[in-house]
Amino acid sequence: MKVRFYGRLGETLGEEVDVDLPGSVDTIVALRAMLAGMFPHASADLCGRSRACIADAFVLDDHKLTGVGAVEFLPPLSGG
Amino acid sequence: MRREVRLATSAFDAAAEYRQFLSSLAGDGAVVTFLGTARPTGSGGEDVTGLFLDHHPRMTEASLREIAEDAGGRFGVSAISIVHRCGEIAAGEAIVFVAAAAIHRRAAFEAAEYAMDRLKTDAVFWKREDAVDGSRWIEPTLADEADRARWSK
Repeated sequence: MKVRFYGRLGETLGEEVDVDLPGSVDTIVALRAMLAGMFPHASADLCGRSRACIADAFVLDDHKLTGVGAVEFLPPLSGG
Repeated sequence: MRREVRLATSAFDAAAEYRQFLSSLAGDGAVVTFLGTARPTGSGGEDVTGLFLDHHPRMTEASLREIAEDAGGRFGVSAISIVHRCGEIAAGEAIVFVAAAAIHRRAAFEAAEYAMDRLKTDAVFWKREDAVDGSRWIEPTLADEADRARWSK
């Protein structure tokens, strides 16, 4: 699965990483926990301060990852 | 309602945007514009060399269109335009241009203000401030959130 990051997360972790999901990682919240383990210096943003998107739509933490090819994590927005 | 939205990847001329907006109008009695520019100093008074606005390849433009549509529809303006920069922005350059036109002034004022309040919190951008002593990512302030929330009342 591809995981894409933006803003501070993209700068810290890189814009895109490929991850192999174990069977136990089947929801967004489980993916957050797995990524936080991989990138502990970004765990606060990964676990609480970013919103997850699939196919350009925000999804909740209990969203299933079955058949999902890419997940994006968006930190707090700041335009204008 | 005529709605124009543009994500600018390089510096834009706000005066030219204004002239183009004016040329498209027909019979409106009120035009309100707002221009946001990159400040040369940060919130702590430090010298800022520029900004970097990260964006999403699809969601950013979609968010601009949604904000323009909502602002125009909510206040009944006849035309609205939003131009928003992304990428590297030097101090002094334009970041965002908003224009709204309506028959009467109140609708135009409110549509422009509403659009700016939404842009601060809902537009899909991530803003990094680059100063001589380092960089920091900017997040919406409590004041930004309060400005956005007052339109929900």
